[in-house]
Amino acid sequence: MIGVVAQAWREHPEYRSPAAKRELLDLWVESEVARLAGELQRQKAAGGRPGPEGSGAKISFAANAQALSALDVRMRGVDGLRYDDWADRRPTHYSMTGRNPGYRYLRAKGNSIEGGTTEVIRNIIAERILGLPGEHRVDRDAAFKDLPK
Amino acid sequence: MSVVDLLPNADEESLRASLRSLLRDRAHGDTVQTAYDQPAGDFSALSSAVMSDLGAGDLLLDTEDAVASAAAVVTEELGRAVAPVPFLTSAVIAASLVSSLDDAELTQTLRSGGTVVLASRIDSGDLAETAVSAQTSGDGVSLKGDVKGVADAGGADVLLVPAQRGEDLVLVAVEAAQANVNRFPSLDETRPLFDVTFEGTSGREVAEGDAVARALGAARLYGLASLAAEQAGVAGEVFERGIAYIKERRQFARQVGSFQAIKHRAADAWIEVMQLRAAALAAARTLAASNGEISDDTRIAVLTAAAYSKKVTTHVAEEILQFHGGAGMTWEYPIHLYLKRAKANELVLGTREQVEDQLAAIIDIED
Repeated sequence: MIGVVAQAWREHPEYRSPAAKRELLDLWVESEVARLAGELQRQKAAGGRPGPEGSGAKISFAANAQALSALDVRMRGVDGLRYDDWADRRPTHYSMTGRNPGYRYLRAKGNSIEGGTTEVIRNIIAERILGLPGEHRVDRDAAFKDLPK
Repeated sequence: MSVVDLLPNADEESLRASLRSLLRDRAHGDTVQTAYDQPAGDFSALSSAVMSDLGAGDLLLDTEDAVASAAAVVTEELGRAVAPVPFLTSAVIAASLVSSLDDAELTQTLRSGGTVVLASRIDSGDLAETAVSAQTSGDGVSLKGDVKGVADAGGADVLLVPAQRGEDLVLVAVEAAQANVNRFPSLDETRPLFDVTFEGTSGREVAEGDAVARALGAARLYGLASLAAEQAGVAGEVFERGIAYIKERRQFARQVGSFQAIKHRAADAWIEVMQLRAAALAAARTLAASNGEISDDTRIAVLTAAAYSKKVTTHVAEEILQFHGGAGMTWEYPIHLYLKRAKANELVLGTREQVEDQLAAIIDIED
C-alpha cells in the first residue's frame, strides 16, 4: 500500500498537505521497518534458525495497510470518495491495491481479522513468546459442538 | 534495494558478550543512578574501561568499514545499561570527523584514550549550522560565541568547534580546558549537557570549507546509525525488565501479566522492539558495507532506523513504566533511567520530524 499512496503523492501535488506529509512519512518508515523485520526473519529461517519475528509481521502488515488506505481516502478529497460500483461480484483474483481508494480502505479492515486476528496473535505472542500466563479458557477441553453458545 | 546481511556474526557477538559482562559489573542500575546524585557520580573509570581497555574509543579510526557494525554492537550494549560513557559523542561522531579529515594530532588523541567532542547543540539537525565565529589569530584561530546544550563536553580533552570565518565554515580544535564549559542539570544525566562559551579562545584549524561540511554530514550519519542501535538497546532492555516485572508482580490475586490488556500492550511493545532492532541492524550493516561511499540506500537505511527509534523507544519505556504501576514512579526500579534517556534521544542529532524530512528528500516525497 505504501507504493500506491506514495505514487498518488508524487503524481498529485493537489493532494499534498503538511499533515498528510507527516503521516505519509511515518507510514513509509513503518512499512520499511516491517519489511526489514521480515527480511531478518527470512534470513534466520534460511540459516536454519527461524526466530519468532514472523508473528509480529501480520499485525504490522494489517495496521500499516489500514493506516495507509485510510490516509489515501482522506488525502484525495472528493477523488478519495469516488467508488467504481457496488455490484456484487465474485473476484477472480486478489487485489488489495487495486480498484479505488474507498474499496481498499474497506478491504483493509479485513486484514486485521482474516488469517490471524490481531487480538488472537497478540495473545499468542504474549503467551508463547513472552511466556506470560494464559487466561482462564472454557473452550479448551470441550468439543466445539459441545461448547455453550 | 539490495539485501544486506542481518545475521549475527561471531566476532560481534564475542565483543557484545565482553562488553555486556563488563557493564553488568560496573554499570549496574544503582551505579548508573548516581548520575543523579548531588554532586553527580564520576564515571571516568567506567569510560576508560570501555573506551581504552576494551578499545572501543578508537574503533572508528580503523579504516575497515566493518567497524561501523561493531560500533553498533557497542552502542546497543551501552544503551542496555544506559551507561554514562561518551561513546556516541567521542568514539562515533568525533572519531568519524577525525577519520574523514585525517587529522594526525586528533587521531593520536583518540588512540591514546583521549576524549574528543564536537561542540554542537545536542538537538542539531545540521552540524554545519553554527553560532560561533572564528578569526585568524597568529598561527591559529580565535573563537567567539556560545553553544548551548553540548553533550559530554565536560569530560572532553578536546572540543571540535564548527565556526564561521566570514563566509567560510571552519573546524577548530580547542583544548577543552581553554573554553568555558558549564554543566547544567538536565533530564538525562547519563548524557550530561553543558553550555560552552568561547571568548577569544584560541584553537587550531583542522579543516575548512566543503571538506568540513562533508565530514560533518558523514559524522551525523554515523551518529544517527549509532543512535538507532543505542535506542534498540534501551528499548530492548527496558522491555525485558518490564516482562520480568509483570510475571512476578501479583495484584488481584494473580500475576499482573495475566491480564489481557497488559498482555496485548506487551505484545505490541515487543513488535516495536523487534522492528527497531531489525532497522538498526540494517542501518549498521548497510553503513558497514558502504566502502566509504555513502549512497542513497545507506542514507535511507540510517534515517529510517533513526526516525523509527525516535518514535518507538519512548513509547516502550512509557508502557513499561505503566506496567510497573506505582513503583514505576519511583527510583526503586531503573525504569526512569530508560525513560529519560529515550526522551532525550528524541532530540539527539535532530528531531524525528527533521530526520523524516531528510528521508523525504531522498525518497522523492516533496512538499
